[in-house]
Amino acid sequence: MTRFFLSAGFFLITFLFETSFFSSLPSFLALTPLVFGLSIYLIQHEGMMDGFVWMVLYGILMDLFHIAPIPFSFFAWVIAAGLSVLMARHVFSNRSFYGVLGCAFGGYLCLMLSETIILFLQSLTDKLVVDWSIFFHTALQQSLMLLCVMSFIFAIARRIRSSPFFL
Amino acid sequence: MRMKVQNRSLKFVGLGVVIFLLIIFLTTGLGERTLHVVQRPLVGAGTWISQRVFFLRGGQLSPDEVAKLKDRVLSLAIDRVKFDELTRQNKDLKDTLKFVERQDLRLVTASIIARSNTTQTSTFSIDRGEQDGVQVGDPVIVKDGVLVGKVVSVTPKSATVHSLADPSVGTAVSLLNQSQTIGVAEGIAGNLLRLKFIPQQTSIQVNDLVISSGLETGVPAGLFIGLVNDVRPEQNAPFLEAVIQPLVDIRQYTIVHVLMRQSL
Repeated sequence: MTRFFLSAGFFLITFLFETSFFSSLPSFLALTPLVFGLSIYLIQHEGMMDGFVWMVLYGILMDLFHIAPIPFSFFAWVIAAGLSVLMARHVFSNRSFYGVLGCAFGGYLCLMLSETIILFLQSLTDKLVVDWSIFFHTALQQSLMLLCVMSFIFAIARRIRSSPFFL
Repeated sequence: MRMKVQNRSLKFVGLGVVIFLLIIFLTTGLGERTLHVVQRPLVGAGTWISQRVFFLRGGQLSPDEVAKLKDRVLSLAIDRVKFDELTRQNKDLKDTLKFVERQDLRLVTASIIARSNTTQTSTFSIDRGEQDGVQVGDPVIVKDGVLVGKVVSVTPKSATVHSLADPSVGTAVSLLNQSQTIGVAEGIAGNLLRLKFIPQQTSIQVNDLVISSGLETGVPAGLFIGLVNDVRPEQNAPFLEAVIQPLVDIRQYTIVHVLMRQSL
């Protein structure tokens, strides 16, 4: 139980950092997918289901606080989280950085596809005008930030694990 | 085997309880207020960096020069609007005074506590909500009456604001040109607004000021919105469309003001 509370606490800190601090930074830095990156790291490299729960919770909170870029983003996050778990277990190796990176980009692609479908359906029903060039441009920038986040997490986690405190 | 299944179910129950408690904590008054205490300095730190890392915003000027030029544009815009407003008031003073008296608005200051992390939409949350009198549709301003967005949803202690450049937001606007063109400006890509269906004979110039027209419930007339950036003919229609650049970038602000309708 204590571990769940610790995990929830870490998630909350990461969520606040992403939605309050990173989102206030200029240009592409505002698109840093911190929660997504950490969740994938937990799912793929550490084999912890906490990552799955983090992604689902992120979707719920984004909808709850109305700051999601698309409506019903919870569904997109659940699909992405589920497929990331499947990819982590059956497709990519959890030992190498490239395996983690593959899983991250696979998961991100699922998220983008789900968001595209939701947006497309909404544009059909609500006559919402969606600027797809902006949408895909943002996705491209965010995927580059995801690469940076994953590299950073991988390097930091390795250093923490090899430090005398953990040995 | 049975123990394993029991352990697993216990884990799921524990996880469910933690998720439930977390959501309850975040949606109740105490939780929201606690979060706001953490969110305000985080947004402040991010905005502080954003204001200083000018090269990422595509500027070639130093931050001081940019700030000075922005202030100059804003002060010129304010002067121009004041001048035009005074001229109009001279023409029809009584009506204007009556209209001003009819405005039943009060102001509440709020801090930005979270922003959407996408360039596709421009949404942010503020730490004032239903309990402070904020309602859906209330206009949100910065500085000396620069309209930046509208409240789209409220919770007891917070509210969500869509900026004017959001594609889902339409704003009743008026151009400070000879013909006082009015219309509804809608958000488009690139943090810009578009005013469509302008008759072709209308005289619109680049840098014409755009203000709120007051033809919208809860949004008073005369709030600054932006400058006309480009005027072009509409495709397949005998109209012009004007692209409007907002006067301020909301990512540079941590404090906003909500103009509220007083309870009737």
